[in-house]
Amino acid sequence: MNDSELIKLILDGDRDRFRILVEQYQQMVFRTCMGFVHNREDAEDLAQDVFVQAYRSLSGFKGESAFSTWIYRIAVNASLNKIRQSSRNSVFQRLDAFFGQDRNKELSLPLDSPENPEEILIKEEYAVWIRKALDSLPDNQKTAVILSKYDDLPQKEIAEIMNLTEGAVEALLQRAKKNLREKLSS
Amino acid sequence: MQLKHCCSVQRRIFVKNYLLKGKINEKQHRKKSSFVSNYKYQIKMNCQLCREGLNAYREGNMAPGMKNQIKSHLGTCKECSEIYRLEILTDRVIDNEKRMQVNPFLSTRVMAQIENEAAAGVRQAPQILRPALIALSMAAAVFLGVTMGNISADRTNGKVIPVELALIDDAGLESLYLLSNE
Repeated sequence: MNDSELIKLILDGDRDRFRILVEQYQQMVFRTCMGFVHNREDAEDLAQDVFVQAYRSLSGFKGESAFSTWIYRIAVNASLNKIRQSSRNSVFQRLDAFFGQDRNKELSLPLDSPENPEEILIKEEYAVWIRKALDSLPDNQKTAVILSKYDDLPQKEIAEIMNLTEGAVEALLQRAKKNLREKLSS
Repeated sequence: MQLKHCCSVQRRIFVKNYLLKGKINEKQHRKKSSFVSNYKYQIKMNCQLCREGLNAYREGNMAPGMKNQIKSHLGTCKECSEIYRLEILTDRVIDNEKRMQVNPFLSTRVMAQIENEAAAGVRQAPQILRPALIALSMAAAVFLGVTMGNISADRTNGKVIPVELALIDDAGLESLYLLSNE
């Protein structure tokens, strides 16, 4: 059964079928959200919100694009809104960091590497710095980078999701790469 | 390897030298298939060329000659090697986040939230009705009170004025002030 048939059944009242769609796209949505928030719990909460929002707006899905494209758009918008909200609550985040409850400080490098703790700590600091550099990119560049690097999407699909031309996406990726290089080498 | 398979750095170098030195020797081209490895040209690797070719170098999508040039440049140039190192680290950070698996119970949480919202939507109907009914009753009470007040006011104001009083011309009456000062 393809996505269109599933959606038709869901809209006809078979709500439980929505679970199939969730299971099919949850990893993809989670990975996208992870690219924006860099934290497992936040990414899972975001992914949950994305699917609930998708369910509420399912009647608005016209089928003109693929369902994956549509849900990527919802995921990107929800993630960007979450980041904007978080930046407003940054005072509380700074307090959390002060009291050692910073949830964003996730060890992202594998612990099974045969290195001493000091090297792991240095690499973790680099990881935080790299994440900050990624987060400091403008929204459209950040979105293009995340869809390209995290979701491994071709430029054509990224262009469809972001409602841009392929050339514009290529330009965004080049600018993002240049900005990242400048931030990381500064 | 055909020219179209070369990275942009190699294509630029090839075009530049093609224009400067004239056409390629067709015999040489026919002997071996690769343009880049067989065409003798002098290039000087610099930081800009190195950085432009880093992506292709990392992906292994590069002719051996160019690859060796970039490798030797990275061995000598501190800045380029630092940039290369940071790009590898960035890829590593992204790969680690990509590899994380979503909670397998996410679909259960989503369906539970959808069910809760659906149930809350049904319960909301009587809750909306009750305040609406209260508001309606209050409006009806106010309307009734005003109507009853108007009815009683009409009764008290319904006295018949005598004809003599109605025909009095106020303008012809003398002022009391004048009367009192006589």
